[in-house]
Amino acid sequence: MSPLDAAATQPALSAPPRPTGPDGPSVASAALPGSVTIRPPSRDEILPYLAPAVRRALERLGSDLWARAEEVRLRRGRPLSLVTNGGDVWLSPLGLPTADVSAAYQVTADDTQRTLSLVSQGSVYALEEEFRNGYVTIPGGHRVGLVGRALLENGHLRTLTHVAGLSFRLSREVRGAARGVLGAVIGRAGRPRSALIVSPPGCGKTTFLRDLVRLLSDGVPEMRLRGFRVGLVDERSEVAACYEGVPQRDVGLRTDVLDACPKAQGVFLLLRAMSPEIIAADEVGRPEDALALGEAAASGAAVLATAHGHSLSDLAARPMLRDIIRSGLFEVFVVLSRRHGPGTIEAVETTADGSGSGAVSAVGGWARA
Amino acid sequence: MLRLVGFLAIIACSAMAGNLVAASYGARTRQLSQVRTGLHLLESEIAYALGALPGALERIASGLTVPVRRFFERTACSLRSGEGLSPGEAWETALRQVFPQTALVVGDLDVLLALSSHLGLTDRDDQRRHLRLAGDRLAVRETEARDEQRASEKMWRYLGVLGGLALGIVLL
Repeated sequence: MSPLDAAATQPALSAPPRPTGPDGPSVASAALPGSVTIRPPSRDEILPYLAPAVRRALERLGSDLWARAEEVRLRRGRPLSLVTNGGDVWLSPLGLPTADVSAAYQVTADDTQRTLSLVSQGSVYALEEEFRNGYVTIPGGHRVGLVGRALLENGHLRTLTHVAGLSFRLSREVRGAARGVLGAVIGRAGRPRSALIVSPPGCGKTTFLRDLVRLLSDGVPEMRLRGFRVGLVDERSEVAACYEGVPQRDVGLRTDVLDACPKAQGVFLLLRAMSPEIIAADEVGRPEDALALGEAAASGAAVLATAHGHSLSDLAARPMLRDIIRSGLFEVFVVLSRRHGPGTIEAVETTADGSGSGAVSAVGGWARA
Repeated sequence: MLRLVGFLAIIACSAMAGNLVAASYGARTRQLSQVRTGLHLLESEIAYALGALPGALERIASGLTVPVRRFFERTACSLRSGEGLSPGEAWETALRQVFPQTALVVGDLDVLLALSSHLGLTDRDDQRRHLRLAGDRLAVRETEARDEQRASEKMWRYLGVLGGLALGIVLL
């Protein structure tokens, strides 16, 4: 087994270091192979987008609870809640977690209206595309999901009115999340191989892809791995979390990001324009995606992609993805779960030629409570 | 001879004073026209440029002059401050703060205040509708202001010259 492959089998994701101070960055050095650094979302990135009453509650929230928060949820006429890796928590007007629904802060119509106005910078009219997609990305890469009353035009969703529910999905950067599979992705030849990351929602697919892209783009000197030119089609602005075209997340030194572009068109543009050695895309699932990724692979670029699913057999039940898998486009499959918290690597499987790494079972989970 | 010079000087001064008063009647018309330009630009920004409101307001402000410019500047400023004001509230606050510095009348202000319950909060078509409506209503008021201005200007100019003449005759 080569030293590169060794990285694939070692239990690479060690226990996450405890964050220090209020929302502060954790102290572990990202340079150590196998170490994982979690950067919890800063409160300053979220609070300015919340209505004052909600903001007051979250300002007073304990920092340990904030560090565990995955989502902040506002539902008109219902209690303010925080989704953490330990379940849902209702918040009182003073930011104290409470089990008593009647003691929780009730989100008012004014709160949802103001929050929407702040999220859109006072420009709800400019969000038609975002309304169609159901979310808005704010600086810092956090995603604000929206629901309300749909307004149709020719049977298609044109926009949302009476937005009554907002969910702030907090994006966190986990440096080193993908180190455990780097060996498998690189293989013996020292060139990146095409990999598909599979997991149900909320298991850290996007975080994982982001870290994989960053590692391959920067290169890993300890593994004598040079950096590769990566073309990233970030259709939903989740991976690089671009704000006005500039990545808000570290996606590596050699990564070109095409933000908010449909994958099928984006892949071709990147191939033509940026000569990528690796093409990365989040959440493939439409037939045209498969076509574009096949084209990328044919042109010699390695493809990194993610898909929703619990396991590989799960994917095989979906015609489009089954075709992709059968076509031999992907050589490496990584399955994630949240068995030990988001980012648990359930299995790494490689196809025939094999680096000999076989399967790795249930490693890590970067956010164990 | 000296009397004639004095006589002419009185008439000249009085005519000048009349002209000054007449000129002040133009201020409201000018400001109304600037506000309309601003709203029209805002409509274009919303319809085509798709920029966020604070940026759009700042761009519009840079093309206008004080005091109308301050309506747009202050709205953008309080939206950027992150105090959690809705665009309508920011607009209303700016209007009420700047209004005393302008030559506008309460009726003009009301037209602008009517915008505050919609500004930024609805889809593009709705924004355009409201901005256009406000623009049209201001256009009517501007035409009225201009007619009024013409009549008053004429009156004050005549008054200046004739008043000077009368004063000259009385004094001399």
